[in-house]
Amino acid sequence: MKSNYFSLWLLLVLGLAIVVGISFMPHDVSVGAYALKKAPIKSTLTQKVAAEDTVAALAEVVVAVDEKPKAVETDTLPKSIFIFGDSMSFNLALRLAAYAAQNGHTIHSINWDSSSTKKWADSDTLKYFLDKYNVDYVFIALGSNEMYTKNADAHVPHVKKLLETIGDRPYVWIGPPDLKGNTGKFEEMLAATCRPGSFFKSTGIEMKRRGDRIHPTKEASALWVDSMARWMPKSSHPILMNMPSDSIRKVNANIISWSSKKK
Amino acid sequence: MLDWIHEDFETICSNFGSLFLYDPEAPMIFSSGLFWVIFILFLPVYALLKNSKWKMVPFVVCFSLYFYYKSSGIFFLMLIGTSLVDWLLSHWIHKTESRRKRLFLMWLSITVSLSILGYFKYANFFLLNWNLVVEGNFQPLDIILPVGISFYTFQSISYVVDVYKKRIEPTESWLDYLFFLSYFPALVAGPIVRADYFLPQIKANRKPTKANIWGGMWLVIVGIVKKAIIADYIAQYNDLIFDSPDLYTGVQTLMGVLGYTMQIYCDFSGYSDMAIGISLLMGFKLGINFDSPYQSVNLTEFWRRWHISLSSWLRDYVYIPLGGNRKGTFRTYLNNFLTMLIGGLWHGAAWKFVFWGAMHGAGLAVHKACKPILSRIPDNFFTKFFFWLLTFIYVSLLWVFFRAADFESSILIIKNIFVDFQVMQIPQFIEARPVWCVMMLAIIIFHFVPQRWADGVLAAYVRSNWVIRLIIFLIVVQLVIEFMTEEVAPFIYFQF
Repeated sequence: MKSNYFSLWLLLVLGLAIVVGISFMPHDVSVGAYALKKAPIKSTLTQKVAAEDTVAALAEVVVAVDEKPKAVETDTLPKSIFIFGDSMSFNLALRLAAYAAQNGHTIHSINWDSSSTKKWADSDTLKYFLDKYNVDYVFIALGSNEMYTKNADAHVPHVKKLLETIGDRPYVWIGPPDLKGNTGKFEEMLAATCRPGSFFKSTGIEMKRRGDRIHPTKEASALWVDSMARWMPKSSHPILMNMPSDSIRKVNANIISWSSKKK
Repeated sequence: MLDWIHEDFETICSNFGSLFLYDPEAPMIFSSGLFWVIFILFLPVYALLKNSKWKMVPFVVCFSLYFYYKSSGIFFLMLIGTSLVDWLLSHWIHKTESRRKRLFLMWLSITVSLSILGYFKYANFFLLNWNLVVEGNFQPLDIILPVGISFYTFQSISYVVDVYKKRIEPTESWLDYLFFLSYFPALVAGPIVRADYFLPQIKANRKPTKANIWGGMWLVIVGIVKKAIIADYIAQYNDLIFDSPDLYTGVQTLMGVLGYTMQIYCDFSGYSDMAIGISLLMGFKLGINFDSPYQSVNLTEFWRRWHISLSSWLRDYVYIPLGGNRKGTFRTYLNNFLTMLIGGLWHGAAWKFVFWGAMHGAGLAVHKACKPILSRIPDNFFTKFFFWLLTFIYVSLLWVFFRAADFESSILIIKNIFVDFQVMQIPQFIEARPVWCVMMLAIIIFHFVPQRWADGVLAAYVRSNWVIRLIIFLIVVQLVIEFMTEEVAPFIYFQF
């Protein structure tokens, strides 16, 4: 009888030891090509250190926010623009293409439906296309699929990884649009993680929605981009974004619809 | 790595220590890692003490009270107080000859128990409604609901009533009664253990067999899969639908409703499986609490299969004392209805729960009334399927009222399904949420698998090699980690 209890106890102890061990390993543990997720044991036990880091990071953000926006001259050179993101990015890309045509930029777009910061961070899609198109200006339209997340801070690593991939290139993160019940935590996290002047807050913009009541219509998305273009001079790296003339209706937006199968 | 551990050793020790203190944000639940760390410490001591009742009982009581302290803080003292009052009154009842005095003492005990429950659970509900009636301006009280109070209050009432009715004798020692009331596997979310079933097990010589221990472990694994993998994962989508019902299409809303129907089953039956499993590997049987309830072909059968410990408690301590079916047809229906109304209110202090209970009561009454007609309908596959579908739809729609924030949202959700449903959106939904769909499919298969298959898998697990069991355990733990949401969702029934 006692041997049954002992073997059960041993099973639990060994199981726990393996999980704790993996959690403390400095490198990922993979099964084939799949990297196993680690239990948050290490982060729980070293919370104090993490908290100090957070305080320091928040202090940096506060300093950054308190700094008066410096007047930045508009970069008038033609750009190789790249816009990527979730399903919201499709209509944004259409309107941005009109802006690109008006202002002499080239544009490419990858629209990955239902994608998230994690999906993009876990794939090499972004790096591949940034190199392929020799991109020098980036628009990001991500966050709509994550804005109800319970812990926005858990997404910081994914956002940071994306921004690291973008590197020194100027970028604008177009925040997700208003959705009912959104607490705003995800946008706050994005605003705090992005470079100052690189996050365009979309909440508060009235948008007509499609039948699914989530996605803005094509016309609403165009107005959304127009709002962003009006904000552009306040960004950290403004580029030419003059309103497209009425003659520019149909332009080639070079949109590629992406999915995880094509990774 | 060692250098790093050395540098942060102090922080790690401090954080590790604080994990063992009460944290209202992190109640102790069976699917949390902390519980298993503590259980690993508990198990060898229990194995050594289990054969000596006088050592085992105080040890398990201390562990149970610590478990309750981790979940409800200082309220563990209230549990001790309640048990002492119950125990003293039960002995007084037992010794008293006068029927009137015995009745008085029983009602005194019930009143004390229900007053505590009423204060913590229903005081603000009462104030809110009083405000509406008198257009007053009473401020809600700052009350924290002790975890599991509804469960152990029902246990304490049944104990006192059983002593009054001489079905059982009161326990000789207060510690035995405290053991029964605070028994940690069933403490915070049931099953509601009955004294006549449980108390003899304390006295009996516990010799858990290999089948008990590994069968219990298998139940724990099944419970973890249901709760921590399936229920917590599908809940993320369901929450979106119920939080903003006006944003979604008919297909999305229908999936959210079906999702919640399965979520609440996986969540609660998963918890019950874990509780029953942990208890079994300690050598105590708690009985069955769920028996594939969505296989039911009528509402009466549903309540024989869903939360069996609660429905049988309501039958024995509410329905039968009200008169049951002994006072004519009308009273039978009324008693059924009133019992379910109380059952609804037990689930929460809100009108939506009362409505949910009332609709189940009405459904049960209608089923009883239609029995003569139903008995004439041929019993074949098609009629069975029709009645199964009818029952499933009725139960699922009532879950909408149970889960939605208010009555208005419930109506909106149901309206959405019927008014805004387009079949062509189904493939889009499957494409957008493949993992959610796979989870739902898994639980449906899981639910409708014949019992003999499930028993076969259990037997194979018990017979299997230790290494195989370890691999299964590790796979399940890793799956939990893979699907873990940032915050562990508490059990839905935790709040009751």
